Amino acid sequence: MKGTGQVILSTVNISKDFGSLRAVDRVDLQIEEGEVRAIIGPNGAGKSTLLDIVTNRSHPTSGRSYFRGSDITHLPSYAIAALGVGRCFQISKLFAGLSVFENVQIACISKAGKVYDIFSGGDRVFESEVNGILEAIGLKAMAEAEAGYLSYGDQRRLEIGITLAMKPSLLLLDEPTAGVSRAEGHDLMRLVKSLAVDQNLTIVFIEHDMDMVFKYADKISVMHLGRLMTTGTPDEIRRNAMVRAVYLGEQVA
Amino acid sequence: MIHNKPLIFGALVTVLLTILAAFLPEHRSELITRMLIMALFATSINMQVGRAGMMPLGQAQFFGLGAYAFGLLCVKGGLPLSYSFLLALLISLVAIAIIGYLCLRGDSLTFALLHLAFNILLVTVAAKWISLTEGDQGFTKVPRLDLFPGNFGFYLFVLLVVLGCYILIWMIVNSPFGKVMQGLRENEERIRFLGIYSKRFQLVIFVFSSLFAAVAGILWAMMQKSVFITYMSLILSAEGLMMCLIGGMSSFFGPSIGAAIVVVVSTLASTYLEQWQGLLGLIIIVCVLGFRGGILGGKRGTMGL
Repeated sequence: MKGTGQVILSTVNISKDFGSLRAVDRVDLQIEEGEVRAIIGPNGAGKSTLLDIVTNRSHPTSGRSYFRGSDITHLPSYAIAALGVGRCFQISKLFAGLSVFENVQIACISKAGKVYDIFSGGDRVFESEVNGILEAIGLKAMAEAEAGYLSYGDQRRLEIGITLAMKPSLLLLDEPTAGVSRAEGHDLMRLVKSLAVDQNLTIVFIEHDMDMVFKYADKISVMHLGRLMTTGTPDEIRRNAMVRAVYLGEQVA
Repeated sequence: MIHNKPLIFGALVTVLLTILAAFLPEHRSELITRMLIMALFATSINMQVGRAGMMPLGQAQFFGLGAYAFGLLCVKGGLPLSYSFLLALLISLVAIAIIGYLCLRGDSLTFALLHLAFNILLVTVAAKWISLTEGDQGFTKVPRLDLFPGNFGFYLFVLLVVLGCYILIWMIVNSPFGKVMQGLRENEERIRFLGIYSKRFQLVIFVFSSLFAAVAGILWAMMQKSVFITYMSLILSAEGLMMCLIGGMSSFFGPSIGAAIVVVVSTLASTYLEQWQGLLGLIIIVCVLGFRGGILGGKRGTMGL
């Protein structure tokens, strides 16, 4: 659904230099609660770096970022995650040698604050919660499979599942449908969209596939050469001449 | 079902070892006690290596630390045995916490190398602080905690302590904490993005694991009735890792099997072969190449032990 007007995530004048290269250039991004926001732009536009900065995987050269109004610029990644910012990576980060079940289970353990619990049995702990999530992401049948052997699309699903177990209010996805078949990609995005609606989750996703972007995003932000060029509804972006020139033009023509 | 198998295995081995310890001639039954203590040492290492993907290259420093702390407290400090035992653990705990905190400042490679560096540092302190430690000579007359009389009685005491430690380690690795340990081994960054302060988590693993090594060291000092610089040698650190490798790091009892093999080979072979460590190297190569993941190996401990 469209945003409620409450800003959940914002960056103020964020920049990131890698040596002499300015990867992210004075970006002011505002994400409203409940919206599904796509970030698009050619390779090297600074999209992933922007998500890295927001989750403090990489430190900004200057500028600040805020989650629900509080400054998270210098919070460590684990603290930002604990606040409710979930992150899925361009290359899925899973516990590859563990089962699908265990992957989600570890997230549930963290969410419940049981990380330092050495007294209860760990094998089936949070079984019903884990099964609920596996059901939601459609991996129930694969519960005992080793995560590293899943198909690319299923690994994406699993990573979303792991992140969901943390009950985040904001989910950041980096190219969720890259390397996945078209049908699987649509399945994934439908899953993401339904989560946004059902659990009132705010979603920010980076995507190259324009079909996915125009179909599933409420709003689209366009980045080019580190700068945030414009933000608008899918219709506005489709009509924006500048966007067509620098980005869509390259794709369509 | 999965849980019963190691339990039965552990019980069977305990009974077997106890029978052996009771009926073997004295100079052989001590071998069983050695096995038990080294098994605890190896298992303490494997808490980090096999379970959590950390690489403690200098674990013998805590084995030696326990031994020195205990030995000095009762021989030079004249404290009663049980107080010495507890106080030695407390001293070890403080040192472990500080060393662990410093070792965990960087990435995993930094951790491994700092761990080794602290081992070298402690060995040097023990060797050069002669007024306290007697340096290279070490010191003797370390008493045993005589819960039960005689050599077999001492075996029983060691067995009780080691079993107690095994039960604790078993609880730890099979708890929610243990699950997160495995997650840490597989992907530290994902752990962080699940809201877990991974450094602090690693420090807790480090403290548990190193404390068990210190307990093993205290038992070793009692068994040998002495404390020598070799108790914290880099060779012992390496042997501990080899025990894990030989027995299999993915299983609970693998390192113990490895420890038993290393103890037997080193004790027997050293009476006949001068270069027994060469033989040890050969065994490791055979185990690593032949068994793929140690004797009890398999990627996730296929034998379920």
